[in-house]
Amino acid sequence: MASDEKRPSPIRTDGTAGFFEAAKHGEFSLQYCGQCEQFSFTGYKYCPHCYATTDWRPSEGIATVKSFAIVPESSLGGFKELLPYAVVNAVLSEGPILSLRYDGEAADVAIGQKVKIAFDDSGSDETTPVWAPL
Amino acid sequence: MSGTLQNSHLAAVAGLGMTEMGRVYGQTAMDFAVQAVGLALDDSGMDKNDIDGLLISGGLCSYLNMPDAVSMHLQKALGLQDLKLVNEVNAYGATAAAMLQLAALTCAAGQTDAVVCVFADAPLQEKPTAGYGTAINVGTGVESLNGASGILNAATQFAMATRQHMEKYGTTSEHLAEIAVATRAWAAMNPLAQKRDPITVADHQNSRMIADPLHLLDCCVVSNGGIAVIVTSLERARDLKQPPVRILGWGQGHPGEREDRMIHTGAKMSGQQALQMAGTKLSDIDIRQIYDCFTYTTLVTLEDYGFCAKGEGGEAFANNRLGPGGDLPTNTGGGQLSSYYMWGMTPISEAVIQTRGQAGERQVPNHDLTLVSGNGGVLQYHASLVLGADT
Repeated sequence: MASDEKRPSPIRTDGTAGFFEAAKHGEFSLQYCGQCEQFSFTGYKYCPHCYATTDWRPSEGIATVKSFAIVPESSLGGFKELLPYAVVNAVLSEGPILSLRYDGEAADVAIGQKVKIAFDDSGSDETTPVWAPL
Repeated sequence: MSGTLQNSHLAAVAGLGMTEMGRVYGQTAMDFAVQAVGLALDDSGMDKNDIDGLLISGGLCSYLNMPDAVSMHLQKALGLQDLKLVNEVNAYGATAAAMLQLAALTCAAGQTDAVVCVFADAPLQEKPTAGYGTAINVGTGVESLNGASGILNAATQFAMATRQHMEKYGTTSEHLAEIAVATRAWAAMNPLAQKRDPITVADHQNSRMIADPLHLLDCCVVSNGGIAVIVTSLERARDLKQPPVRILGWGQGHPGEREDRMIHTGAKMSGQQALQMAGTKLSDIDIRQIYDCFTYTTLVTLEDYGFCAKGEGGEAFANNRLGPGGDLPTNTGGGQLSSYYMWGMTPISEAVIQTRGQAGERQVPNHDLTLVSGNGGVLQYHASLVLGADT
């Protein structure tokens, strides 16, 4: 049964509007700098490597799990129906590191495992990226 | 000395004020801050008019924009005018140590005479509308993905850090339990501690899971209260009521988002600087006061300071080596894990008490040199102090 309480929604900013708009259409994107040809994910418009302006560029969203935690209980509504859930810290093949909820059996996560971005729009106002087993 | 103000080590802590801490209701963070400053003045024997600098640090109340969080309004609340230094300082858990550094620098340089450094917080509510575990600062943009992902508290983040260490070095939950047990044994002798009943490794293992692999007994307490520390020149401190606690060395090390910061923290960089400035070495340190928001933070900080080979902290700090009677006395007041959570002021306050020789039943026999750590964010920020007796 779905909870009445919503999960906290991501909040769009000028620097992340492109990301969340793409996410709504099921596309994962990272910031890319045409000047130094590196990816980033700061959510701020300038490249953290060379300070040139970045664009959002589609990514396959494939990453390797660096670490994870399993949340057995939560007093916040919206997550109760997912308990226990894992959160996964993973490094994308393009370089940036991202911690997101794991959309799969918490007990199955392992360090070194490959994961892929998926999207969840069931819990909050914005579409939220999650890690899914690859 | 190149790169170092010549007399920068000639400052001292002259006053310590600690309010009642823990589940103390009916007072705001600003109320605690004012009380703490009054207590620090009494402790030092100084007069309010002697203070010409104020450094301010808020805790969770400030982070969450709660009413009456400490702020720049503290100068007004304290009735202080024409100060030579006022700053709100923020490096999260590294703030308190950073405040003492700035205070020491300005006092040793003769820019200020006496600077009071204040931390106060009141996140616990008698009838909670939002507890510490659930009151989240959702942030915006990329930051807001944490809350949306169910990463609702620091425990979940530190659980991921801990698991990285476990995976790479074979650290176990029982190793962390040893730290919790040793810290609680110190707390049992501290009248200020919120948790004083002794615990065992089994108690730790049986405590509920907060964010696997961290159990409840891996996590710090939460406290309302305030602590103020008065810094002045060593010369001035020698004429005051309390034995001076010298601020001999300091350093900071802020990894930011460095990829391996969860297992290689800023403690290494900041600790080396602090020891070098103090002209001392690790083996001369008598007592360690470590920022212990979680048991893992104690373990990784001691490792990065160099108290054992990297990765071997689990075994190296077991068997009560950190506890009463152990050869590496650490967090002798019970730390944040068992005593009180005043962010970076927890380790500093206990360092002052021990260095003065005022720790009563839990006094460590050798207390000339103490290494103090402050850890901020999820291991992004670090500051260290070497405090010493005026021998």
